[in-house]
Amino acid sequence: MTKFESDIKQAYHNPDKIFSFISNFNNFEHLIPQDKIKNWQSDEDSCRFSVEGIGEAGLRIVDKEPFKTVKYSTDGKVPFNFYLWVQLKQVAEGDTRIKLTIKAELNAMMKMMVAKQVKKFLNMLGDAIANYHYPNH
Amino acid sequence: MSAPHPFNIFWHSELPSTNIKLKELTREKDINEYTVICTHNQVAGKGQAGNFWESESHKNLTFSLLLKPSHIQIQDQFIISKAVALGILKVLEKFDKGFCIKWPNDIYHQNHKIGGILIENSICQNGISESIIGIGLNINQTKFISDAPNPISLKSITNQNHNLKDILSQILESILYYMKEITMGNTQTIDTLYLQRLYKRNGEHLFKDAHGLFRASVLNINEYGHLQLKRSNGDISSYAFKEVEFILNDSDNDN
Repeated sequence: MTKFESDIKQAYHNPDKIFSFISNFNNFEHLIPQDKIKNWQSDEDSCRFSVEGIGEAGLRIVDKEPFKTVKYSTDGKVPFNFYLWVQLKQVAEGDTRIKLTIKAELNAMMKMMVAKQVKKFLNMLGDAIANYHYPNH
Repeated sequence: MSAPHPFNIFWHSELPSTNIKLKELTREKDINEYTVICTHNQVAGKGQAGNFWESESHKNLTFSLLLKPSHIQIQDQFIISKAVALGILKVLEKFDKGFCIKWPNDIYHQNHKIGGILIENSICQNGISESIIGIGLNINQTKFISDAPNPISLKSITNQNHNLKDILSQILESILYYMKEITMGNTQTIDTLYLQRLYKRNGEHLFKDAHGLFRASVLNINEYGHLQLKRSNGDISSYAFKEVEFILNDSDNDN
């Protein structure tokens, strides 16, 4: 397994709010780059979409630990299989740190091709989660 | 999977109303045109002016589509309703004959209601900035418990279950097709097709307005979406939504 990690991101919110948000794929429309992702279809637990230049992919929530971790895995036909973990750690009131990890089964060739993109994607998603304007209720 | 389409589709297991949810989203932020909110269980569906729409969980399609048809002027807004109705019919007509539009918002199969449309437009300057198109269609439901007079579903017509997601994507693409016709200026085609598919298009039928019952034939739907009726004595009158109703007489209402 090849492991990719995002930088640690900081969100000025408590983890419960972030946790409930990222536990529902219907909220992800706010996180995905609309110019690269097309054909989005989601329900609470799964989503399917096409990435420009790469093809179709699907994700499913496989495990949740309130309000610490949400684990996702690829679902259905995908270019390559991977797991995505989003970990939340509260360091103070209104201060949560976020780390994203992808573990993927990649051969050397694929690894070379996608490593940079995967890392970029993780940081992009991490920023989107950290900077999202969570409603105040 | 079908060919790539511009729609972003969000399924919710339960929602009070897909139109309300979509409206909330548009208020929260600038969401994309072609966003679609669907639910497996709409618990407080709205019909036009508060009519209730009955839908059994996981059996039917209830969804709302966001369009931003800023090129359509306020006074022409009924053309959207026409495009949507034709889009729905185009898909349903693959399964059977006899589908039609009961002005202004209902989709019928012969004398039975299979679905409804609820369009809510927001206006900016002279154009329509946002059009929220709510659609309810009975697909796989076969038992109807409310006292709605004449419900029917696609399954009761075809005797088989249908895949909700497949039908949804076909309808979305077909609505898009007719919206493009409007953009290309082919509104005449849409007007003609719409008129052809109107419920009780031919012959005289029983109607009721504020003054009581009368017999008339459907003459036209004018540019404002008003129903023009021609009475036996040759008088022509126009009606806005809710100013007139079709009377389903005994021979029609065989449910």
